[in-house]
Amino acid sequence: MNKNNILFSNSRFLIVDDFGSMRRIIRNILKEVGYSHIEEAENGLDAHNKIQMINFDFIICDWNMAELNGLSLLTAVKSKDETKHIPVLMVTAEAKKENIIAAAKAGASGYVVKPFTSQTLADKINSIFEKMSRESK
Amino acid sequence: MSNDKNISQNVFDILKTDDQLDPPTRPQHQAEILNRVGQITRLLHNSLSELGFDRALEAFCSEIPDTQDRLSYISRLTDESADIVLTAIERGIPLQDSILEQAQLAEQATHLLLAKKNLEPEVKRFAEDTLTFSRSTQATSLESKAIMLRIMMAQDFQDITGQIVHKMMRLTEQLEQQLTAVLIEFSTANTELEITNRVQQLQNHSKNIKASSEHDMIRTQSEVDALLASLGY
Repeated sequence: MNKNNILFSNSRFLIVDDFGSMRRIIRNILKEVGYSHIEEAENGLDAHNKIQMINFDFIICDWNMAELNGLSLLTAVKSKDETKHIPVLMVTAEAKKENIIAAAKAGASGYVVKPFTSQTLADKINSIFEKMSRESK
Repeated sequence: MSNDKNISQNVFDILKTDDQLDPPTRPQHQAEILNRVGQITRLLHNSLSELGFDRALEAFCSEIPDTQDRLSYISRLTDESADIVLTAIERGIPLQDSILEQAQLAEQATHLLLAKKNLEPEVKRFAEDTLTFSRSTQATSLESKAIMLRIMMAQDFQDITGQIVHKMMRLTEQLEQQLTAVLIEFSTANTELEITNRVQQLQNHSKNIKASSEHDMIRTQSEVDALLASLGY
């Protein structure tokens, strides 16, 4: 874990993906880089319900999901005062330029294209936390 | 073949005449266009039946449930495969972490031992060997863990291929619905009862294919052995 991000080591993560294997991969990467408070949701709707009940610090979200897709979830998170501060990292196979732009416009903190390496994901999370850390000073 | 040519010529003639019409804004021509569209539709209807396309479509349509089953099978197998690998990795990584931690402790203890004065030469040599071993164990453990993580990351294929397979399954389902609709539309059946029976027949045909393909599937070694035994092998 990056020195600057020790402050965020207790952060509570939510992984949203309709494929169990991908949720497990991301969970294991997070554990490897030192984050242990991790919840999972199998689609956008499930995630939306969990967000109402638990205060998450970071959301890692897939794009293509049957029940409320990633972009809709991102829009929902960013439209509420209680949740709009939560960084949302899109991790998706949707590499279309228009989708990346749409995610950025909707307020995504980052965008990782599948397939990705564990280092790429860890670096993205670190840079988002670093940015948050700078902005809070 | 000459039948094909006649039909093509008829369609060509109708379309050719259609091209020569005035702009379709005039009411008298609109009625004529509708009349000609009706003729084309009727001609297509007859062509499909005469050329046996309805049977070809029906045969194609009946293959779709089997295709969907196979796609579903691929999806399930890749999911199970990724699950087995991830479970093994999730068990293996803590074991590697434990080996690494123990090797680090052994290294620290050996350093403390080597720091002592007046060590017997044999003890000193043994301690130095232990130090080398604990260091190489740490390096090997870290390398093994890196390999495990690479294997874990490679399981993302299941997510990517799974999405494609699901998309294909949805497409084949839509294709099946649309082809069934075309078959009903161009069916030679005349009455509502005949059409209902025809739809029922198509649905039963699909079910039978599904059932027979499931019946043909052998999933375990014991099933293989039983089959071979029943055949006298």
